[in-house]
Amino acid sequence: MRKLLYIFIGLILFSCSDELEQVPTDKLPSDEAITTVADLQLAVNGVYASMVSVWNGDQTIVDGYCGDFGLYADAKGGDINYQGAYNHLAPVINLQTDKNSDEADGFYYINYVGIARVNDILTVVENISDIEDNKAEYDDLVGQLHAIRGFLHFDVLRTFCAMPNLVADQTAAKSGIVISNEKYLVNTRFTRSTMKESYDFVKAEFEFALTTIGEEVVIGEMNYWTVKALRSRMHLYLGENSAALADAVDVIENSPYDLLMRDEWVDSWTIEGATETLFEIRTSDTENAQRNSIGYYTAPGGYAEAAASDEFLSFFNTLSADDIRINTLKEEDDDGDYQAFYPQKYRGRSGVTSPLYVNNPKIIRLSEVYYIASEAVLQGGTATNAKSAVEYYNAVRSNRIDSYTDVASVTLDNILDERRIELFCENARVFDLIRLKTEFDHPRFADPIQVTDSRLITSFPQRELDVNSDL
Amino acid sequence: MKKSLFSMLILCVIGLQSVLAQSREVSGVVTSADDGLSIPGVSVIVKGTTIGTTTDFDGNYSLNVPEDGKILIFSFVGMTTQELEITGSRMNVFMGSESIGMDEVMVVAYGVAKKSSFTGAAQTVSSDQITSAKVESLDKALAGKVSGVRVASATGAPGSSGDIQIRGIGSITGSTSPLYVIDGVAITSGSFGHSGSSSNILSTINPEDIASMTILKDAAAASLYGSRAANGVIIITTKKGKSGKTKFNFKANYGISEMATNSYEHMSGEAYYDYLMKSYENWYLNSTGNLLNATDAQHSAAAAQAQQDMIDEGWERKNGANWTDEVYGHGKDQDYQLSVSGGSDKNQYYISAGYKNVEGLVSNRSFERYSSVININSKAKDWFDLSAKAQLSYTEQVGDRDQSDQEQGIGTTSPLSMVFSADPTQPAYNEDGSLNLSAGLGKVNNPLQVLNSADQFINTKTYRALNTLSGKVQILPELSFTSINSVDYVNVEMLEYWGPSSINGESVNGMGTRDQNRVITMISSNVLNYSKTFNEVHNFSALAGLEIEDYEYLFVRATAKDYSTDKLIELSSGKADEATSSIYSTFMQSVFGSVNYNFANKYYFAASVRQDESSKLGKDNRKGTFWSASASWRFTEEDFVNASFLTDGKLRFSYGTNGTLPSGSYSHLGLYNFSGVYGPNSAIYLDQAANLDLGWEMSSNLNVGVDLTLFNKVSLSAEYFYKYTKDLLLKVPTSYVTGFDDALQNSGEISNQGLDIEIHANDILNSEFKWNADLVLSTLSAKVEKLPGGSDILLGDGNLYQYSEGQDLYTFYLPTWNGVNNETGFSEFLIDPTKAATAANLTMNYGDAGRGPVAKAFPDFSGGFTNTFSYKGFTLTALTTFQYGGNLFDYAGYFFHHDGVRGSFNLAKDVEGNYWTPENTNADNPQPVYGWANRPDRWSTKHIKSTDYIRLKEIGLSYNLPKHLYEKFGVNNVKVNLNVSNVAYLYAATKDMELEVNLNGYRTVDTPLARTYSMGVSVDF
Repeated sequence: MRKLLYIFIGLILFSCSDELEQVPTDKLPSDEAITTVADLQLAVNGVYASMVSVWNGDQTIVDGYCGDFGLYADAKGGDINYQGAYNHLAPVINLQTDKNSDEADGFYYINYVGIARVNDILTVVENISDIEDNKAEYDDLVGQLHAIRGFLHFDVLRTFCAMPNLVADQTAAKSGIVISNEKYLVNTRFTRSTMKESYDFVKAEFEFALTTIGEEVVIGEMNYWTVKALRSRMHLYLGENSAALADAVDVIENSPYDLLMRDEWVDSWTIEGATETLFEIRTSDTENAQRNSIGYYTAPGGYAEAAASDEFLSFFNTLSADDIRINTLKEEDDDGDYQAFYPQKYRGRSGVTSPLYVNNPKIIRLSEVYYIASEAVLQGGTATNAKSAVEYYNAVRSNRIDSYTDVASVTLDNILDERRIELFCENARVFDLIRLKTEFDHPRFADPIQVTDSRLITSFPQRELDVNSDL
Repeated sequence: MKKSLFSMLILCVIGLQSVLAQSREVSGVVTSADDGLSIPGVSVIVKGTTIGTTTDFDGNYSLNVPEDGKILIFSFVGMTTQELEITGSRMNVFMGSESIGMDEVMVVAYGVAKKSSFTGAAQTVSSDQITSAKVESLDKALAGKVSGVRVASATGAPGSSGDIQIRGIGSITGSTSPLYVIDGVAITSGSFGHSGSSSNILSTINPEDIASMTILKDAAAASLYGSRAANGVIIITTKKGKSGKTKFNFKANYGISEMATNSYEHMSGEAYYDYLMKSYENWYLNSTGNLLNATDAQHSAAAAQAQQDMIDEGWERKNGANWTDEVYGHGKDQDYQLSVSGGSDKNQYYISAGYKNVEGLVSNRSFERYSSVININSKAKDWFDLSAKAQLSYTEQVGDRDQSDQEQGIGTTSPLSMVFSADPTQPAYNEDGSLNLSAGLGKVNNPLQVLNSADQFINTKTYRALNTLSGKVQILPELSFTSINSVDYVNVEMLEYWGPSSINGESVNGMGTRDQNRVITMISSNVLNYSKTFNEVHNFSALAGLEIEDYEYLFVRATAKDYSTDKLIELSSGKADEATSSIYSTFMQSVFGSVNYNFANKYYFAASVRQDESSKLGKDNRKGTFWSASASWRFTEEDFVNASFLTDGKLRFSYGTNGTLPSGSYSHLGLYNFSGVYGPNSAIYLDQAANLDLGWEMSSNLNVGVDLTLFNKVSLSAEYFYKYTKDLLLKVPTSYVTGFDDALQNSGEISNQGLDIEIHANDILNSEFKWNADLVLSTLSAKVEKLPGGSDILLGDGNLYQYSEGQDLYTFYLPTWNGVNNETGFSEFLIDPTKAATAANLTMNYGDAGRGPVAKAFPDFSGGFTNTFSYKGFTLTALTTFQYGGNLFDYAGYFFHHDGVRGSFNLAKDVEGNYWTPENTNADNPQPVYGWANRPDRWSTKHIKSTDYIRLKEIGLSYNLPKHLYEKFGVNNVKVNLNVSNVAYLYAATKDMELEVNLNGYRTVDTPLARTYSMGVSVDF
């Protein structure tokens, strides 16, 4: 009997300390996760993936380009209107992006998650073991990380702040956004920088990226030309027309991208890596924004929340039949319901299982760079090798319109119209209208919308104001 | 038990001696008044002598009584002792169960205790009380039966989770569920549902196999369970065999069910048509900026335009089906149980088999359970007891997503959504009896088409085997060693299928998902027990133990899309889409001990301590130590207390600590997820922020109570508790800039306090007509004491709840709706909710309305009142539950009070004739505007409803059929019963709504509770 007592005491003294070190079988800490350049590539993919969807622990947030943000500027700019009333994109069309709206929350969240992923990776990149053997690839990936960080900050800026051309004092305190450029403890509180500091940060990120990023074209990844094109867009917003023109000229003259031929245009929406696409976000049957996607929103059999508005339709009806972009819209219904003219750009990549879900949003295309160049010239920008505004204008249009005859001159209004049709449902419209200070009609409102209307800016989310009292 | 048998043996010997004296013989049979079964082993003694005997296996006794013997004393453990005058040579006796509050034995942490000597707060619930609820899982059966315990069902769908909380709300974002211990083994509980469907694995335990449940409420009772006991402990004891004749019991129960409340009634077709037309008319007026000041001519023009543009040709103003009735129909409930028990003095067994089948109110929603228990106890040696248990069950649950996760959204094919997106102007069926397939306002053509087809469902199959092997070695008379070792195997397999042409599956051409959730928990618990009485008055006992728990959870998911056929549901008919697997392991080792001392059963002292070491925390925070100290004073044992009405009286005091671990296995680690995909390539990304400082959530627990037994009939217990929890495992909202929306941190403090009162009265009338009454009542005050940085936290779906220092837990945070303006007919909200409703502070635009704390969810007090009447074999039981002071957020109601904004979506019946028109300016609802950007329908105080109610929760009538009808067939007892559950609200502050909601007051969009009428028979042979 006494033996049992000893065994028992022995059991108490015995400690299973090994068993107390439990680690997950499917996850790793940052420093163990990224140890090679190949791992770094996976981590960079993980940053791009945040632009498709982010799981926040409770639900999947898909408010990025693949979802609501992909149609954001069109919704706000009055070119699309909802037929179905499912309240997904409709609030944006109703200009309800107030501080309590899901959209304000989602746009803010998805961008900063991407940025935080970049920040975390940058804390461990220096410890990667095989940098020497893969220097070029490593440099390219680090360049991409900075490029993405700049790009995402730029998107936060144009969504949550007034467009720079409407801001009198860009050095006013808190006129910009929160600059996120390091790994933060979870209880960190943030304040906004000035608009100038914010844009300067974006510039610096692009500048740094250009020193290391590669020029190779890889679908779904940024390269040297993407950064130049995006930077060109940013300069245009800032009214830095010569800088915008210089970047645009470089892309037009030296990049491997080509404008789509007229007969390529329709099919280009069903493929990845069209010759004109400088940067697109990759979706697949497994990773996409599902029902909250640009495809599902723009289909009568989907949510039908993004059909052409009457305002856009009356503009669209002025298009020449020779213009290939006449295929942008088609009148459709869903078994008799929701009859309207629907955008045709997002009807699915060929060969996929769920076509409405799988559409790569195009972040920037070469045609836009031509328009930027044209606009920059009209605004007084100069740059080496630059052509005239009308030449850039004619270059795109001759690849869109059959038997096109070059016009002799172009105005800012021409460019606005040209952008309106070419970049329809590509998240450009309201930014263009504001930049060019053009008031506009909107399907949900009787009176024209002024470009200074505060509803055109998405409010900083209330929960972020609650957490950061000094934001 | 052993002792009493021994004394009976002595009595037998003594009895034999007395035969020699001159005497007369008295004989008879002793039966139980409760179930009519004969009782073996009852001691029968002639009063004032040592002459006596015990009843045999069939309850018969025969005794030679000396001439001067006048009175016989019948006594048996657990039964009320009876002294009866000898009236003849044949005396048949009915013995009743002992009154509550007497010295019953209850199962407590790591052992048993006499109720009189227990210093903690605990209450025992009998098997009858558990099974009377006729629910599939034991947690739901406790409603209104135990003070301080609150039970609610998130949804009425068969097999879904219950929500149980003991003494308030233990945490803000940590677990609030109690620990379940079956026969000494802590078991896995919770839900392993998929995508917002819940599957309660407690429903794998058949309530019929439970002998009793003890609910441990305070630290003195629960601290021995350490880190898992902060939310209380529910100790479950399964039925065991008894020595004696083999007993069979067969039970059958059949019931039908319907919705218990008139929830979810919708507008008639004609009313909806008018409402919709008005909403379109206002839409046109709004689009031209004339909404507020339209002329009559503009009104008519807009109405005409609406008629022309918005109404499909052929859509007419007429009444159609009542879709609520069509969708929420009748359910069925069947239950069959067979048990066999018996054994010899050395070996006893209990074997049972059970089958339960519940069909829900909505078609294709069901729950089925096959269960069995094999319990074997053996006294293998004088010094060695051995017992083995196999508790097996298989359940199959068919349902669909039910929003039990309380995340936003109403699925297109959820029953509720389909009721309101069905066209109320259309009949459900065509004249030829076929389904009317043009009866939908939205994507669903006809709700019945979706519900009756098997092309969209979630099927969950759960297999559970809880195997326990335990041994007890009596080392010395006062020292024993008990080892309990168990393997709890739970395997939950889920199949979700969306057919290629189903509503949800259409866009992906069919989808199938198979999940496996396999949990294996191994526990070894080894305890030394010491117990000794010194000098007859110093009663001392102590225990010391070691326990290890090894937990492994495997999750596997495979998904396929793009089905080649709708004839086969297996994933192989589709294209592989996703495959994932992961293992979550935890390990915990614990040492614990306790001492109990009492002086002459008058003064009681107890103390316990436990140290847990868990793999769930970082190296430096891994250990947690929890303790308790308690004392009680049985003042009725004092000489100076001499009140004859007071049978027993006790004062109790306890104080101690408990802890809570994070629910996740690896919450403290910063982790990269490797399952990401970008285009055709793999991707990895940071998905958990590191917090190596993460530690235990600690609670301290004070309990002061008094127990009184009056006139040997009425027991009364009143307890005050105060529980203070700090270092909360709080999901603290973080700035999105960190890359996360929240992070688990030890931060914040909360308190819970209240009174638990129980009154149990036995045999009040003291006649053949018996009346027992049981009242349980609890009050609760739960407050946020401290928050990180003092700043408020918003949590829940749509940040519904605000946590603010000094404020109640579960406080709804919403804009204040100021009602409908009589003149304009539109809803108004307060811009600044802290200011009065002046014109300057009112807005019609929801976006301009400020939010504020508006109401709390949990009730101030709640309880239950059970009355049991019995007369000659008839027993009538009625349970009434009640609560006061709580509120719910009517998320379901938000959808069908949409003020016209949603267009093609029906509205609640209570909007019919109750919205503003120039003729009806005092209406509760505003005039409708389709697609209005002002969104007056959005969440506000309009959706907060009082949950005050008095509910007739259960009624049961049973009758023991007269024995002569079946005795000759060898049947011992036949009992028939009728039960109705969720009978009716005797009072409801909010009409036509299911008011039993989770403690956080969130009314989900799923099926409300059912009222079940059932009848059954129980046969013993």
